[in-house]
Amino acid sequence: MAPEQRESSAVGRSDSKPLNYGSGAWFLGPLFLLVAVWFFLGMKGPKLPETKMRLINKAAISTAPRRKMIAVQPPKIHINGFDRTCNDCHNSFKSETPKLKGRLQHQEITLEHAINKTCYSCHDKKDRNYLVSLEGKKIEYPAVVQLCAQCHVRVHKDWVKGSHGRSNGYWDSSKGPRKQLKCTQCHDPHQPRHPAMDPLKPLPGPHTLRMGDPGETEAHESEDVLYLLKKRGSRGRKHNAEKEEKR
Amino acid sequence: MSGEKRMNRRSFLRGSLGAAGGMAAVAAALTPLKDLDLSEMTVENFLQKHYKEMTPEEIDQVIERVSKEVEERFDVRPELKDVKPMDGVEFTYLLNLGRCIGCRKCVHACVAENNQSRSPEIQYIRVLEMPRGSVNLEHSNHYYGDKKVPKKDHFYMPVQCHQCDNPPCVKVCPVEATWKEKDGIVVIDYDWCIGCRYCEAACPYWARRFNFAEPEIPKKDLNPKMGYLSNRPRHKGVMEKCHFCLHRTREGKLPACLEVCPVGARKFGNINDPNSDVVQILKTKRIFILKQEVGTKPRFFYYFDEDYGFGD
Ligand code: HEC
Ligand code: HEC
Ligand code: HEC
Ligand code: HEC
Repeated sequence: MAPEQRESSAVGRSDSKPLNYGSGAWFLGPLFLLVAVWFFLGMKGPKLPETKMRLINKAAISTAPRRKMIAVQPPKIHINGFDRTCNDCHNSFKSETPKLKGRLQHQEITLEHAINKTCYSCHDKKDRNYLVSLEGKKIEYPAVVQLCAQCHVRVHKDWVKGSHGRSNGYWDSSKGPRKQLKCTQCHDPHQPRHPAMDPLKPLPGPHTLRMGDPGETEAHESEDVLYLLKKRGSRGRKHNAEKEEKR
Repeated sequence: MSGEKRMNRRSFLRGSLGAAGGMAAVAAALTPLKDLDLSEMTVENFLQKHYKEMTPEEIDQVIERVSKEVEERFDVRPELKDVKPMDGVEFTYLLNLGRCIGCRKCVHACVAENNQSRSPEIQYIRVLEMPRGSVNLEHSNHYYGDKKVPKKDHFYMPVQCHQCDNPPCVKVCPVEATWKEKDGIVVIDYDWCIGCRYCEAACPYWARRFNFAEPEIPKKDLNPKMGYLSNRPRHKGVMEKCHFCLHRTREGKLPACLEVCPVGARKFGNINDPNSDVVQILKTKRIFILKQEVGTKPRFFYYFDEDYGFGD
């Protein structure tokens, strides 16, 4: 019982009145015992929500790219129930004025790509099995990046650097292959804007995820972010600042 | 080095339990110790040495014991390994804020890869939705349930363990159950953790998660490719958090969250390799650090692409 008595005398002192152990304070011992019991009972931790086991939707987290691009030359598509190359049909008729509406074939294609107002800014008029550059040179389908790079110079540069787009597989190329996705594995060339998506579910509540008080913290752009690189003598952001001045 | 000073898990338990017997207030402060289910401790488990002090043979024995435990619990023989850091490699993670659309694929891929509890649910990655303009966490929402993302005039900021170079969580651990490895990853030994949750409170990024209840995972959904310090199944009463998928990344692979990102917002690599994408990006992009003022020197950065004008 020693702790309880110590506690009770502390209470007495904070009142700064003389204590009479004999009469008034007799109940303090049992009281603290009760408090102790109460504390112990309260020790079970937070109540958890009754959750059903929520299973992971495997399809939703597949690593497959968003689109299947045409990755073979000559290009094969599944059309009207057959696998055909473009020229299987296009060699048998001449059409050199593309209809953007009321087409007899490829009706599912809608072109919404800024200055690309005709099909022929990308498809070769004479040889439909090829894409075509702005200068009229043929581009094979698997080399589609060349086509996009003509106009999207800076995005392409970022893609080469790895900043735009995605690579799958191994970061360490000595251990295994690394596959960099091509433009058309994410963008439909005819309607390149990335579509909105259905988000997957968050957690059911704050119980398993202590949020903390976010306070007024902000993320700042940092001049000093490259401490990890600086340790190794890189010029880091200074390099960037120089570039900025030149512009 | 701190061999003598190092508080051993058993002496810590003994000491604090004694105190708890004495004073109710102390007992309340030690709440988590009650969550530690001693009935689940086997003799081997209790006598296990600290990870860093174990010889390779001792680690093999532990791997064998844990594998057996997993097999009993899930009817699956795991491919459990103790994957060590690679020489000359230090990891860093970059996230392109201009790209993220808040779809939460990363969150769920992480749960599947890392055997997080499905009930109660534990997720390592939290995606904050914020109004465009400034990165102010005060106006952030991580329970958004919109039909479609991205929402107009909003942007998304996924937050997970930043693997700080100067980690406050490691400093507060009374038993050294969590530490920084030479490749920069902050790891937890679930066999050593006593669940006091000091690290959770110390983390400025709210990245650590506690197992309040015995974690449940459907047997068929268990990922059998496991690392000792990463995704092996946990028990009630221990902390866990993102570890950059070390069982994958230390074998040269990319983290699971990165592999599923539909917009390619996630970048990962070795900061000691000047030709890696992460170094290229760090050198040329506008980089942001979340809560830089706390001085923990994270290895996880946010960046933006420049605004591309017409003809980009
Ligand atoms: C089943 C036969 C068939 C196949 C295979 C086919 N096309 Fe066509 N395509 C047509 C027809 C028919 C038209 C003309 C539609 C019209 O004028 O209304 C057309 C029109 C087009 C046009 C619009 C310009 C024009 O010539 O009228 C483009 C561009 C085009 N096709 C590209 C392709 C490409 C690229 C492929 C291969 C990936 C392909 N087509 C495969 C039948 C086909
Ligand atoms: C910006 C360049 C561009 C323009 C403009 C363009 N295409 Fe394409 N088109 C492509 C590329 C690149 C592919 C290959 C797509 C892939 O790999 O997924 C393609 C594929 C196709 C295909 C075969 C695959 C499919 O989606 O069925 C057809 C048919 C086609 N285009 C028709 C047209 C028609 C018709 C037009 C004009 C209305 C047109 N394209 C305009 C770039 C373009
Ligand atoms: C002839 C030039 C040209 C070619 C070739 C071209 N684009 Fe574009 N693209 C543009 C222009 C112009 C814009 C509008 C840019 C803007 O609004 O700032 C654009 C816009 C885009 C956008 C943004 C869409 C949006 O609404 O946000 C994407 C994505 C894109 N292109 C992808 C591609 C891909 C992928 C290819 C290769 C298959 C490609 N482009 C080929 C000229 C081109
Ligand atoms: C991993 C998927 C992915 C790949 C691969 C990819 N992009 Fe994108 N790209 C995106 C997303 C997501 C956006 C942003 C959403 C949007 O604006 O449509 C984007 C935006 C763009 C834009 C609009 C500019 C901007 O900053 O918003 C252009 C242009 C573009 N991409 C071109 C390309 C080209 C060219 C390639 C190939 C060299 C490519 N992309 C490869 C996902 C991808």
